[in-house]
Amino acid sequence: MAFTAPLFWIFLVVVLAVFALLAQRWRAAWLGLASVVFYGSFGWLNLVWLGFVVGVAALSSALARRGKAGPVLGVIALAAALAAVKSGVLTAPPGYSFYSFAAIAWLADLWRQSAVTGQDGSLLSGWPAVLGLVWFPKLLAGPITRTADMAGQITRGLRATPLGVHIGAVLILGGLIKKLVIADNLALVVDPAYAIAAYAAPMELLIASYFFAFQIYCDFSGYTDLALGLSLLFGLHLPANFAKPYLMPSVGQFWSQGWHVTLGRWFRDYVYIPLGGSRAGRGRRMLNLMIVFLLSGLWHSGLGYGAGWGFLIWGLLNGLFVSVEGVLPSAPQGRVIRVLQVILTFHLILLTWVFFRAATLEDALTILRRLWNALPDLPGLVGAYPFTTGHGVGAALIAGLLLAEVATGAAPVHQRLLALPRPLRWGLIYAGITLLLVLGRWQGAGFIYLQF
Amino acid sequence: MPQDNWHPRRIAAFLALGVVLYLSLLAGSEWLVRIKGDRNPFFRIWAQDQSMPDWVVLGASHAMPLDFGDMNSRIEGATGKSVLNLAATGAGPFMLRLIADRYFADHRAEGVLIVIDGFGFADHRWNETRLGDADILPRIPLDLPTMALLVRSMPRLPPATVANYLTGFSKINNPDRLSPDIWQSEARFQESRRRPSAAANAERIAYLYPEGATLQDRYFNDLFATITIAHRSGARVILIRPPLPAAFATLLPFEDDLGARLTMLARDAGVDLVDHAGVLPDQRYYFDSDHLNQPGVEAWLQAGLAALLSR
Repeated sequence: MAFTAPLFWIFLVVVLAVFALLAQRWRAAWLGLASVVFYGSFGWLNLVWLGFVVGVAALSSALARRGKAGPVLGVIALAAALAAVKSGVLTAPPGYSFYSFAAIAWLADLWRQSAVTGQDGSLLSGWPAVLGLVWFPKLLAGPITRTADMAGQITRGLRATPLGVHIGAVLILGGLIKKLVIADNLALVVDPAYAIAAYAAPMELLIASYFFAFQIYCDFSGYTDLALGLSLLFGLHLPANFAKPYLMPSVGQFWSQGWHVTLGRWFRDYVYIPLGGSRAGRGRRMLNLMIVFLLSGLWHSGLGYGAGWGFLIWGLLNGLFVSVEGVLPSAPQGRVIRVLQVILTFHLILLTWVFFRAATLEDALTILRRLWNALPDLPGLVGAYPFTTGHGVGAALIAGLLLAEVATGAAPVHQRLLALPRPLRWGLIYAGITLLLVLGRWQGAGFIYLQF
Repeated sequence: MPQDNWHPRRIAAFLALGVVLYLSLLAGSEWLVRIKGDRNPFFRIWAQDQSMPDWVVLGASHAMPLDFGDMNSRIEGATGKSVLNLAATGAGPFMLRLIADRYFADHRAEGVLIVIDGFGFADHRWNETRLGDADILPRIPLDLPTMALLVRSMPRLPPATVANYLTGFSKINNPDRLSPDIWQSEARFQESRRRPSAAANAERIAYLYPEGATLQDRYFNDLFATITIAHRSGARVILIRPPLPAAFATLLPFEDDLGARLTMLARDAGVDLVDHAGVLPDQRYYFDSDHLNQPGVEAWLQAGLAALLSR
């Protein structure tokens, strides 16, 4: 029951209708049941995995009143299971690492009591906390939420508001466009080229690499927009996970403010800061950063496009870029400088995506070697290359996306859209719906990050 | 910025404009179907005037070369009979039944030539789920007789396929909307394969008969129903096994069982069953593993097809 399947939308209508009819005190239970059914639709055995994580988290939180041993043991159990999955000892269902991370954060917060907002830490136990963990829109690919935040909203009562529904609907539309129109149309160019990395023409590899940067962005942030939008239909606010990452002027900002922000915060709060963060000198800071990005690479490995070393190289390269940025002198201010920084940052990230997307490390190195060798002849290659309609459509979609992101400045695109006068707003929404109907690839592949 | 209260009229206006937008897209897509249409059998029925052809040809891709290039007019020249070819790639008996049902809803024919392929009796993908394929459904014009037929054919025809047709979504969303409605293999009609390829034959057989495929009673019932539909409209029917290269034909599974059941079915339905499977065993008559090229169709005509159609 993927978000793009007709059955999901029937499911959503039923869940919303019953939610609206139920008294407030039953709503959380209903949404918990709906979340279990949603996850079970991908395979009922998946519920054993979800049950394990929920069980460990709930039991550990119940034991937390007697001391820190409960949360500590819970974190160890969840981390060990995650390590077993990532090392290939166990095969986990979609989304396992996302709700494992959320559960580890829950127990780590209990342990440290740092995120407890209630008088006695009650937000970190009980059914609202469990619903916050299993909440179906974000169960498969985040954002990675904090239990106290989710449980707080659920405890205060869930109620759909007109404004929330309006914003939610726009986010859902935007998420579907990103996934079905942009990401899945770009995949038609990316997948064939990366499937024959050693034989594809250098231009094909170059185009595929650029397209992949936007494919994975739209695929992942499209899922997040859907998760945020769906949650708002029930009056639940999830944290933002993306903020125009390819307009960031440094790799550090890309990771801390632009890309998969909730994972970045998770690593910051539960790995980087406990390791000493930046408090223990420049060398230690660099080491801590490398550890964080190495762990991030390990988290991605084992599943996804390739099971090998490519993800580790991807993580280490990102760690290296962020570490080096930390020791470089500040760049002068100015619009031109910022544009150059954005372009450089994008290309550094683009380089790392090759390791992320290639099926093997050898493939990634082959692609980079072939691109490097072709660089001197690039103008001639571009002029002679037989561009297809698929290339044109992909380039136009990327240009449209970048235009929308640049034109809306620092604010999220949906926020600026909602601030427009109604005729313009409706016109743009209808244009989006038209794109979705005409160009959406409804039979396309699932979300990439469901594999992680 | 929208206000934080409900506006039922505004919501209704938004939805109404959305419906108008959808209908406009549907109208545009339908127009494209009608100007780009060619091979789709439902399109051909829609485009067919009320003149009565001597022969309607039903079948899967092995019947399509009869209409490639200028073959149709050459067949008409050789036999003196008019022919309307309604063959479609991968069309099994259930698909043939739907096409016949749609055709005879508002047209007539002197005779129906049903080109029989064994794979069509062995798997749902050539039958119940075939109509929903991206190369067929988006090319079917929207008309009342087809609507009625598809609704009547549920639940064997997947409800999602029927809903897709009724809403026109597959047309609006068709990525090939601007491409002509052709079978790409037609471009190779003039080519000739000199030698059989064991690998290509094995691959093709595995495609036609996926794992678990087995002859199924309901598809023989569909063939019988197709004959009944034609008979009810006064058309005579001939069942024919098309020519196949020897190297390919020897790989076909279930052939003995299929032959026996077809013989029994033809006897019960009171129609002729003509077996031309072995008349052109040489690979040079085929442009790929099993489809006739132009010399192949010409040779088939001389080997008995022309005489059959001239009757």
